[in-house]
Parts: sequence; structure tokens; C-alpha cells
Amino acid sequence: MKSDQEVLIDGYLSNSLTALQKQEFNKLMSEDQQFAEEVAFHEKMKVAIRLEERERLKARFNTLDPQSNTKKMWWYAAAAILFFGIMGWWGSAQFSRDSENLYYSYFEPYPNVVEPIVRSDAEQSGLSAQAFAWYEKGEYEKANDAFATLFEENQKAADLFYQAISLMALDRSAEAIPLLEQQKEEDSFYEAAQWYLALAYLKEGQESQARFCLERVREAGGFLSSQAIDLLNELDNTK
Amino acid sequence: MNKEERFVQDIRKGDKEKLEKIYSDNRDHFLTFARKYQLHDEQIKDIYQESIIVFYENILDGKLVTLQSSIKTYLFAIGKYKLIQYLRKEEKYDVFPFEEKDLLDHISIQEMPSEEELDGKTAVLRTGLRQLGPKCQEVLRMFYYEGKKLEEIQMQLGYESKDTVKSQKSRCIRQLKKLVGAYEK
Repeated sequence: MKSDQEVLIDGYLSNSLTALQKQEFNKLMSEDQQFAEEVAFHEKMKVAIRLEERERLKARFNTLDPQSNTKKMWWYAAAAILFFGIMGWWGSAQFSRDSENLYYSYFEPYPNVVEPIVRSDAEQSGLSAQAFAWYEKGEYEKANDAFATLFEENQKAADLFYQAISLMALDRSAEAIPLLEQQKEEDSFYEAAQWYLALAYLKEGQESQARFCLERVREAGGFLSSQAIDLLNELDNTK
Repeated sequence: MNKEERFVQDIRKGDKEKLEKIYSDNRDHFLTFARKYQLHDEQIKDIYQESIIVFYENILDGKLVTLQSSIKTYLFAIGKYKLIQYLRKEEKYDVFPFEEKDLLDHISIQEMPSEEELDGKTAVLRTGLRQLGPKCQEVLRMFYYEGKKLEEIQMQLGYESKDTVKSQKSRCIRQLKKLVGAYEK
């Protein structure tokens, strides 16, 4: 692209074209396909830069906010690890390291099957849509809070389930366990909940509980059963 | 020029710390104010952050060169406007009276398409932008987001001449095109 064309495009984007330049710009737009494409590219690029910068600013603002509890949790976790070390429970530590590895290789947040995000849909507003939007964007801290509020309001098992997954994604599986245990057999997320429960128990080093849940998943014979069988085999092999 | 106008000037020139100070100084007050509308704290924080960004972009666009009122009043006018927008979308609550109408006439709120509405091309461009070197990212950001002139960028980044900045910018765009082309294949 010629350099004077770039000047025209930049002037157009910053709304600073002179009357004469405007004429030239419009002429090129209607006659020169390549120029028109160049303008379209620049416009998109400008939007992309703006979105990038906004995201960066938000991330920066988040660091300015008073620290939430996650940091504290880390300290508790660190203290717990230290405690086990001092007690000399090497065997148990060994197991928990292996099982933790298994946890990380199997854990993946459950897809959002409740509120697929379609922004143009006017029906989709409210905290529920917002919660799932955060969940999909990986903003689990926010999602966790929102699902907790939703569950308090509506007592829907699905919200509790997604809150638990958000917690696990935040590495807070111990807190997720009691939530997952509340899923009843007739709830639609029961089987998935058993699968995540197994992973959470593994993370917490409770292998027998984990196996118990995995066997349930296997017996249910649903879409998670093959994964459950794989994980059970791996547990046998790490023995 | 009063103290607050100088503050705004500094932000326009690139002093992010001052923007951060505005953010921190007014956050709690805004949270308290917005809680009356039964919103979740996280939602309020989102609205507040978006308001600060609108405020910042208006400074960059040179719309707040002279202040008719304090920074805080401006910021809250934007914040309330954003809050009303949000509550309307929710269709849940009665909208509260909005007294700062004439203030808002001086402010433009650049609505951006939500991420889901954008076509794939923008997403690809964003990925491409992140692959560029820091120099390129900086030049493009200063020129296209902060609206700085080539001379200002030259001064701030210590380039030899305005033309060096210009050719650097063209080079970065070419590089971006190449990256985007590679993703699209």
C-alpha cells in the first residue's frame, strides 16, 4: 500500500480528514477494491487493539482490588503441605503426588450445557447467563460467587454443580466435594458429579473414595464411563 | 488549569498510575452506591471497570480537556449511565432518576460489539496482535488506541524522527497481516 493511502486511512479512522482528503478517500473507496479492503482491515485492527487494551486495563484494575480469599487459601494449602512433610508421612505424600498428577491430567471443566451463550438473544440476561458467561471465559472466581447466589435463590442442582466445577478449576477441590455430594441420583448432572467427585477425592489423596465414585460412573455406562475405566486402570498401575 | 485538569492531562499523556488512583479512590463509593440496586458485587465491579474505561477513552479522545465538574462527578455520571443500561437490560428493576443528563452530553460512550458478536477475523487479529513484538504492540497501541500523533510517539519512545515511527508502524501492520494470513490458512 502506498504511504499516502495509509495517511488517508489513518485520517479517516481518527476523523481528521480535510474536505479535499475526504473526496479523495471516497473516490478511492468506490473505485479501488484493494483500498476498500485495506480500510476494512484497518477498522478491524483498530477494534481488535481496543479490545486488547480494554482487557489489559481490566486485568490491571483487578490487581488493584483488595485481595480475595484465594491468596489465603494458598497459604493454608502451603501450610498443610509443610505439616505433612514434617510429620514424615512420605508414603502418603508420595501417593498424593501421584494422584494429584492424575487429577491434573484428567480434570477439565464441564462444558456449559445449560445456557449456551448467544448474545443476540434478548432472553439471555440476568445472573444466570452472566454466571455462565464468566464460567466460559474462565473467570471462575466470579462464576463461583454467582452460582452460589443463584443456588441460594433457586435451589437448582445445576447451579450447585457448576459452582463445584468452578471451585475445582480454582484448585479448591476440597470445597467442591460437599457440593458434589449433594447431587441426587435423579439429578441430570449426577453421573458427571460422580466423575468430578472422584477427581476431587484423588486430589485430596482419598483414593478409596475416588475408586468408589469411579465405579459408579463405570456402572452408569454413560459417556463418561470409558474415561472412568481408564482412570481406574491407571490407579491400579500406580500401585 | 486547575489541579484536576492537570490530572486529566497527565493521564492523556500516558500516566497510568493516576488513572489507577482514580480507580482505587472511587471504587468503594461506587460499590456502596450501586448495591442499592440489588446487584451482585462482581456485576457492579464489571460495570465500574467499564465506566473507568469509558472515562479513560474520553480523556484519550480529548473530550475532557476542560472539566465542567469534578473528576468524580464525571466518573459517576458515566457509572450511573452504565448502571441504568444494565438494569434496563435486566428488565427487573425500576430505573432510578438520572440527574446528570447535561454532563453526559459531553461524554461519548463507545459501544463495542460484544466478543460473541464479533466475527472470527477480529479474534484472529487479537491473537496476531499478541504475537507481535513489544515495540510493535506499543506503537500500534499508542497510535490507534491512545490516539497519539506520530510526533508524540517519537518523543515518548525516543525514535530518531517522525518518519522512523511511521515506517515502524507500517512494518508492524505488514507483520500483523502476515500473522493473520498464517492463522487463516
